[in-house]
Amino acid sequence: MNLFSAMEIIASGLCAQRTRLNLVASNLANAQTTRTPEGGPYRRRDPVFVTSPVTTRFQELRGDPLAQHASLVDVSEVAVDDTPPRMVYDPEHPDADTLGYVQMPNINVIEEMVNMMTASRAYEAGVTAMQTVRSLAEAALRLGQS
Amino acid sequence: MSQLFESVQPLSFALDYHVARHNLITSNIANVDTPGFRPREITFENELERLGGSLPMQETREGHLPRPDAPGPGSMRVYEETWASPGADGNFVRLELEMSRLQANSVRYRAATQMVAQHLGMLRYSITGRR
Amino acid sequence: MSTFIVPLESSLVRELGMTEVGGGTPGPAPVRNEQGAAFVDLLREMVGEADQSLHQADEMTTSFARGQQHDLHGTMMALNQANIRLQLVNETRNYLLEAYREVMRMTV
Repeated sequence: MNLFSAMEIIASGLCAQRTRLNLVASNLANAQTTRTPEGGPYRRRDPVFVTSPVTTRFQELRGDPLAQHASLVDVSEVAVDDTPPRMVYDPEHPDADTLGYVQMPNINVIEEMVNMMTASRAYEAGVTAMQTVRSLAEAALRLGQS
Repeated sequence: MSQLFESVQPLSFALDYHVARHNLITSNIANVDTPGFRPREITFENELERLGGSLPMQETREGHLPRPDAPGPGSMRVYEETWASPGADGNFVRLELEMSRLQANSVRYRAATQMVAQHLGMLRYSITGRR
Repeated sequence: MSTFIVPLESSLVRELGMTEVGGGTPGPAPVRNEQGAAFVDLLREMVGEADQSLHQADEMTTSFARGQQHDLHGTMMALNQANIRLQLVNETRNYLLEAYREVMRMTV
């Protein structure tokens, strides 16, 4: 393994967390959306994180028995939350049904805020990690100078 | 004559070790939110003896890096760490711990490069009379 | 008969009836250390190793530049080792040259 594979790993983490942040933003923005192109209220979206070994991006590391233990992270799919929508009694609402209930998105704003915070924290951790890798590379380049 | 760089061999191994460890630590950090993920740690023989094998680790797969010319350290081994309490998604990563490890590992790598540079400088001086 | 003062030509040896009694060695005996290794062999080994490490450094830098391998400190180490071995060969050459010059400067 080498420093560039470490950079790749960190970059994959940053990407995944940014995707997560985007989905959280989408959830928050659509917390009150009752109409969607696919019909019905907005459904909460969640990223599905999976690992993949770093050897998938670095061919020459396939011979290194240790390299399979270093994993990138990927968003394999965006899961749509299947839990039933919240029923809110609001007969004046244009989308109210015959009983006066409106189907509202199954989004808990507090939960989304917590997700946003953890995603930001993980993103910042990735940025710090990238800085350390850069300092290692710079130290290696100075090997000849005493 | 080929023992010219013998004194630098353990440091060279240390550099390889710290790069491998950095990869595993960054991998743990990148997977802080991956469900079911268990953080990985890497040791080599001497270090394991020093730790007394007391960490709650279980060996997953063995990663061998044979280095017959390096005194002391033998093969490197990768372990999964399953600490007491995982998160709700089964993830065992502790971000603060990984960040601390990252900083410590970074210092050790940079220290090793400095030491190698000093060794090489001394060699050069003994050969040419100048740095 | 001036042949006794100037150096003798080998064709005159038979003519004068001289017989060979000794010599025929290829030159002075090589200098050896305690382990029995000859200095000239050590020199040859040193040059060979310098050449080898130059090749290694060359290979590593080329494959790094091509993006075929990404071992940063390994490549830097190889470069530094080649550099130091080359300096060693060069300094040894300088010492030997200087020693030779000093011998040549000696007035007999």
